[in-house]
Amino acid sequence: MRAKLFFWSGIGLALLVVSMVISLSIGSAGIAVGEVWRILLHHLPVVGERVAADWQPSSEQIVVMVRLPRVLLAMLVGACLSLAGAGFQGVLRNPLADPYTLGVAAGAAVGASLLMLLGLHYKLLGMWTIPATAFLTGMLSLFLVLRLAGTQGRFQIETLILSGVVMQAFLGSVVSFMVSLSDDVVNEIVFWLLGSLAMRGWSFQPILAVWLAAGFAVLLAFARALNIFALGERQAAHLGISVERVKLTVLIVATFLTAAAVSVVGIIGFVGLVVPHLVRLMAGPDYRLLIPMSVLFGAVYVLWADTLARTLLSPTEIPLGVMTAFLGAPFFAWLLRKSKRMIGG
Amino acid sequence: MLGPVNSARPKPENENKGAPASAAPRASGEIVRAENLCKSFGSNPVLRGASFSVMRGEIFGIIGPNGSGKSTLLGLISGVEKPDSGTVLLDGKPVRHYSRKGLAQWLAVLRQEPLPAAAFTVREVVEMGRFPHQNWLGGEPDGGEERIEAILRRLELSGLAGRTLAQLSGGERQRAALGKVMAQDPRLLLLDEPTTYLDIGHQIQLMDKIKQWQRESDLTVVAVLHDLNLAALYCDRLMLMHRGKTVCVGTPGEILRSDLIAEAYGTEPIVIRHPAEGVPQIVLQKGESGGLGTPGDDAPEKRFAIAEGVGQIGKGKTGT
Amino acid sequence: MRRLWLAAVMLALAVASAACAAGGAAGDPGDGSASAAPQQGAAPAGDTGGKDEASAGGEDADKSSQGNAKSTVYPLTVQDADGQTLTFDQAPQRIVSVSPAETEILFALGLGERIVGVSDYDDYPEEAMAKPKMGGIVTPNEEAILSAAPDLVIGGISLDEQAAGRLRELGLKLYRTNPKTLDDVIANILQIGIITDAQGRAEEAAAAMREDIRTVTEAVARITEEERKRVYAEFSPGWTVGSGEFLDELIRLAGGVNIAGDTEGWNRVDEEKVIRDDPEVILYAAGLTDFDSGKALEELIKSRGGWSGITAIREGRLIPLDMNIMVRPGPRLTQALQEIARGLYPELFEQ
Repeated sequence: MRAKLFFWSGIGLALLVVSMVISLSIGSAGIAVGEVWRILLHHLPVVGERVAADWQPSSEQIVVMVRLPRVLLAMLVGACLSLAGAGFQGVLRNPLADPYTLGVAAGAAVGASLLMLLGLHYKLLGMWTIPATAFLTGMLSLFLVLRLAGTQGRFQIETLILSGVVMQAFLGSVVSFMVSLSDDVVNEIVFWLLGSLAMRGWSFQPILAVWLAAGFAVLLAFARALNIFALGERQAAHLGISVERVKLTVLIVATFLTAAAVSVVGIIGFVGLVVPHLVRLMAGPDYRLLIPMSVLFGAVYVLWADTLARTLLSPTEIPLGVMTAFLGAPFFAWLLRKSKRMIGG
Repeated sequence: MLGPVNSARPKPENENKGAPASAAPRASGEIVRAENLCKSFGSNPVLRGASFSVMRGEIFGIIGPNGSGKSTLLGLISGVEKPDSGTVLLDGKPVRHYSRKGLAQWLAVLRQEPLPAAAFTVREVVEMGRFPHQNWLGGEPDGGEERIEAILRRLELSGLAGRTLAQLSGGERQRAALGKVMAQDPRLLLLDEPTTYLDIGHQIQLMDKIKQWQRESDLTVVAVLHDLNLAALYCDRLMLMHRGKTVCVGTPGEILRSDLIAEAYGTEPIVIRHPAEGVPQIVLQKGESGGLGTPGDDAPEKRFAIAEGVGQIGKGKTGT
Repeated sequence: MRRLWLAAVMLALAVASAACAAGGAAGDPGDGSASAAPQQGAAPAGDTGGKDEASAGGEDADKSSQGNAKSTVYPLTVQDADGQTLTFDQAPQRIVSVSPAETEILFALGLGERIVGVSDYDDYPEEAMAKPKMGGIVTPNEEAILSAAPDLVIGGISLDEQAAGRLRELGLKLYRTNPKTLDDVIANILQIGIITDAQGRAEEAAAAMREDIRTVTEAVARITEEERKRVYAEFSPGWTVGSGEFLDELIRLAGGVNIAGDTEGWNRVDEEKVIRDDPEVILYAAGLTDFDSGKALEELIKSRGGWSGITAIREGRLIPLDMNIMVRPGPRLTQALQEIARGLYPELFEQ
């Protein structure tokens, strides 16, 4: 297992680094690649002194204040969503499970839409207004689903999934209602829902990084338990796993990660669904591999989707959710064809 | 109605052999003691007062018709279900006093459902059995690699070690499940009708392996079996259950009697003696009126003696 | 397993330190650009940007007048519609406009050459379409704007609050407008004229607009309340506009009564209400095709169930209007006013 881990980590990291390099070098402003990298080097503690600052201040602004934060944000969001997806798939043992199965995305959307409908989406806490509120409503919807699905502290998987479907449908209709009430012809709520990483600056990276690190640590600690879950909950119990506790913890942590990501970027789909399956296809069903690899490959996936979203029709931006679906759906179809066996794992 | 037969004589004790340093010596050698267990699901009473005890080192079989509560009983013993009333003592302590992981370190369960077609290999599945003994980083004090290999060899799984469960037949999967359970290194093994989905060859193979293992490591086995003949062949003592209650406990010779079987199961078999092993085996008879016999029917003329030797089957005087 | 933790920790540290490094650096470019802007403004334009030269620069920019126009005195401090205070050390030389209305204003003030970026939707005048594109009007493209190195960014009514905040965060000088009435638009034009030191042209434009308004209001002054024609406006298939918007005000000034005036803002058509209110004139957006039915808007309106009895449709009083001038709070708004007035009372405007 160790050998596999190093092999796939190596590939994942290499891919990530290459993607970062490419993504930082391209954008609406035509800055030469060499200049981009000299600007970045300039900001490193020791090496930086050696690089002469001979570029336009606007170039530096663009690279440091617009592109770099955006690249990092895309990676963090992708990592959070894929990690959450791996967690959900491990607990729900359903190949179609993704971070939105339990309705947390719909819950976050309700909070964001309400703010936008009332025109308060910037007034209360500036850039943090939507993310903070969407996060709260997202977690609230999880709480409601758990209340709906739980009996005496036990959660049956099928009941959970059904409760999630119900919650999604209901909250989705609430959001649609708010969209219809919204009197703008160019609908802000719809645009938020489609997902975007534009104009986020440096505000959210630190906290997402913290959530990611914490979520990663917790889920990795449960990796062996999640492996055993594949044999069935009874088997897991006989092997000494506190099944309900593991289920609940993983679900809550994964929801946390999802709510954090969605509250910042909007509803981008396919990341939490496709990336864990892709990793499973390449590296097998062992969660000790699946969890770190999902983080790496999820980061790459969203980074690419965002890079394409902001450059294909530059300076117009394609909504990120459109891009992830556009990349993800055909990919998922290919996955299905290739590996009907593997998905059972 | 026949009352409980308490004349069961336990097999010679292996009490002094291989008792783990951490356990205080038990005076009675009882590893399982169940008292008056009752459990209902909704309004349906499944267990209505089951009591028995299992001695360390023996193979204890639980038999009874469908709906007699056998599987529920195992669930209570293994701690995954809680009784409505009554107690289960494992090694002298009530079962609920054990943490899940603590219990899993010495109690293992082999179920009848085959392992799902997961994408894990046989070796990985067997390794999962070490989970209760691993620390939170997944490591063990004395790396279990050799142990896993030994188990794979014993169960003739070495050649299949790299195959995924999805690629195995039912019999092979149950062997892999046995491997996992062996890797758990338990002192008490619970079997829940493990042979249901196996053909006769695999049934014997599985039970042989379990018996061999049991002998080598002083394992105690509690097995719910639906096949009475297998139960008689492999178990030291049997407990007959009927409608949620313990009917009687004893050696196969004492329990496998046509009258008891008829009463519990509603069909009266012929009981013969196994030519090689000497234990009773049942031979099924077709029902005369086409239906299950009513328990409580007093028809002494239908009783059959345990015939001596094969071939001497027929109505005869009741001899005991 | 230990190495895995190490890898995870290092990844987390790498991310965190990248965030911190760039975050720390964030302060510098932010301050840097603010002070760099005036210098940049000076360099490309070639004008001397010193404070003392302000008046000379002002007169050069003002082509049409010969000294009786006012020139702006710098440094100039203004507040925009968001209440943000901006200070100009000299007339902005590199202007980005992410609002079609404001672009029209800038061109009307003769500042076409100073414009270095427009939104994707700017289409008037013709020259605007040749300018570099800066993205949408709700959330423009940060990179494009930054690379245009503007010393003034003008945002309009559609600009998202969060986007505005973000642009300011990036150190850009954002002047946001939010005109709600015709008078606001005129005031806006004058204000922009002051900021850009084009006051002469601004006052001309304002005067022209006031004249347009005057001709219309005088002509319709004699119409009594009861005689006012009922008007229904449909500027997008299925949508009308209520109070608080320009269209409503224009209809009122032109002597009409907006039957949707009891509603607020843009809202969906209530078909039954229109039949009940029986408008005498219907204004609609020219050249629009309904997406769902594929019909031209005029046809769509005429073919609505139960509408054939409406006065406007019976008498054929459907007036097509160029919607761009109806909804853009720019210099052509009074043109729209005149078109509406002519459409309502053709007899009053026989000229």
